[in-house]
Amino acid sequence: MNIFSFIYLVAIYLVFVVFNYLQPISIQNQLVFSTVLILAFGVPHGSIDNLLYLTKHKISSFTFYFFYLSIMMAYAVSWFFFPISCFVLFLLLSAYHFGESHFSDYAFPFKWRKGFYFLWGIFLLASLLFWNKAELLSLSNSFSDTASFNQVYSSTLLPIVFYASAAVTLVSLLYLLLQNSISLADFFSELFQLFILQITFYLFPILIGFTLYFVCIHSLRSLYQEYHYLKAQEGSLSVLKFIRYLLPHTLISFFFIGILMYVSLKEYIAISSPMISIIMISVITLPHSIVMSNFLSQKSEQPQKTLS
Amino acid sequence: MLLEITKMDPTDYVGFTFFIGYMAMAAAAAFFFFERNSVSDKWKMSLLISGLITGIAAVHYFYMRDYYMSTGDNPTFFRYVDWTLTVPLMCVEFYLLTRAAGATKSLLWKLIIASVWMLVAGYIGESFNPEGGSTSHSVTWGVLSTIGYIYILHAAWFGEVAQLAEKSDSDTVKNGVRTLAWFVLVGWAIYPIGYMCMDGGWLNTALGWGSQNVDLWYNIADAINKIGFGLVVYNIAITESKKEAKA
Repeated sequence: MNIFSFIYLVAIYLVFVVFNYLQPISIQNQLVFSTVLILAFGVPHGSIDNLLYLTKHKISSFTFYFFYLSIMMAYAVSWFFFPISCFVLFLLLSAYHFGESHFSDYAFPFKWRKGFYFLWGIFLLASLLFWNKAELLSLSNSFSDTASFNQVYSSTLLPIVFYASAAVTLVSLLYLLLQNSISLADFFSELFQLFILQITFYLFPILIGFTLYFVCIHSLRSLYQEYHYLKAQEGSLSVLKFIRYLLPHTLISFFFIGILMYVSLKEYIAISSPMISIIMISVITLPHSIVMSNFLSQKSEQPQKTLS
Repeated sequence: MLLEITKMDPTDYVGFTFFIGYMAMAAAAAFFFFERNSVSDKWKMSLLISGLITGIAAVHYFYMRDYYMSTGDNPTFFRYVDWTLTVPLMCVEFYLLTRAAGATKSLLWKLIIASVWMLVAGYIGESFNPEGGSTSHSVTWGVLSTIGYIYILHAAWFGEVAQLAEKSDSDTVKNGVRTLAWFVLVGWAIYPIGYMCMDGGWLNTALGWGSQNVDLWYNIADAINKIGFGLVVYNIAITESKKEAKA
């Protein structure tokens, strides 16, 4: 068990406590819980992509922002023409991103490691959808624009993907153990994490289950890695200063998220707030996962520039 | 009391595990006491504690088995008397293993207090459960009890115990403490399953797992944790003693 699993366990415990006293927990309470945590930890973990990229590559800030924002814009526009394809792309992209981040502390020497990251992420997301299919269908049906995603949730492929990815992930972990790519302790640690993820996805509503994973395991791990990477460059980096690095883009994100949610809720645009949320998250995820993939693959390399 | 029993129901898994538990604990205690002679002086105390844990449990299992066979009820009183003695002793094992790396008495007391907190809250939760069961009572005391568990879990994986084990120059101790930490994480996590099976408990109300399952889970958990814990300590003691003899 690593520290993120421990935090995850404690968070499960706290949510369990809240659930028992606030039963039945309403969708409004779930939204507040998820929004607060995702805004507090999820958004900041992607808010220093510029620093991570620019310290490793000799390109100007302008070029970075130009490409970063262009990717976001192109993806956002695509949503209007191919919503289902964009949604599936978002799931596939997230699967790879989660898997790559999850195993970023391991040094796998084999060529198919990227396939393994993707597979692990597919299993993670398939579990989330599989255990919460009824709830997802009900939530999607509440809004006309999200109802089209039901063809993904109710696809006969979903159970097949779930069971197949579970089997292949477990066999892959066993193979890694036998090849000495992971230790016995790591093997059990990974099995334990998969086990508690399945339990929480099964027990909790989808919003709570996903938020717990996204915040405790994914975002905190990324923030931890980002902090240590920057600290390696700037020895005097304190947690407070790190938060100062996170703040500018985080606040800008909050501003735009607020505006988009406002215009959606006030019905100035004909896009529901859940649909806006999905689009926003996917649009942020695409360039972020590219930067993080680059960052994680070169984590051990020396930076090209310093922060100051 | 046992003399009155003429026939055991072959599907009485709780009774089955009480008999198995009693004999397994007694056998483990005898094993640890005898094996004290096979280890160096430094490790004799650790094996004595392992023997005491399983020995105390064997005596209580003897009483619990008869109580259950006579009344068909959960022997909660004996169960908690047993745990109040044996769980702090498991914490003593952590202290003894990491003492060479600098563990202090204050660590020992912190672990003991956390374990007693965990057990007292659990005892109130189970013994003072209103007639018919109360979910709010069960959950409140279960939540309070879990605070003690989380403290011990943190200490074993990331806190003082884990840090001291890391400082130890012995890989056997490092791996042994890590294995014991796994026992705390997985083995000790079986107990809440039993706790939540009592009337009004979360698993009782949500999944319909009856209160007869309480003892089944507790017996399985006890066998895994007490004997398993002792065997891990035994393995460390015997390996380290052999190393010392060679040196």
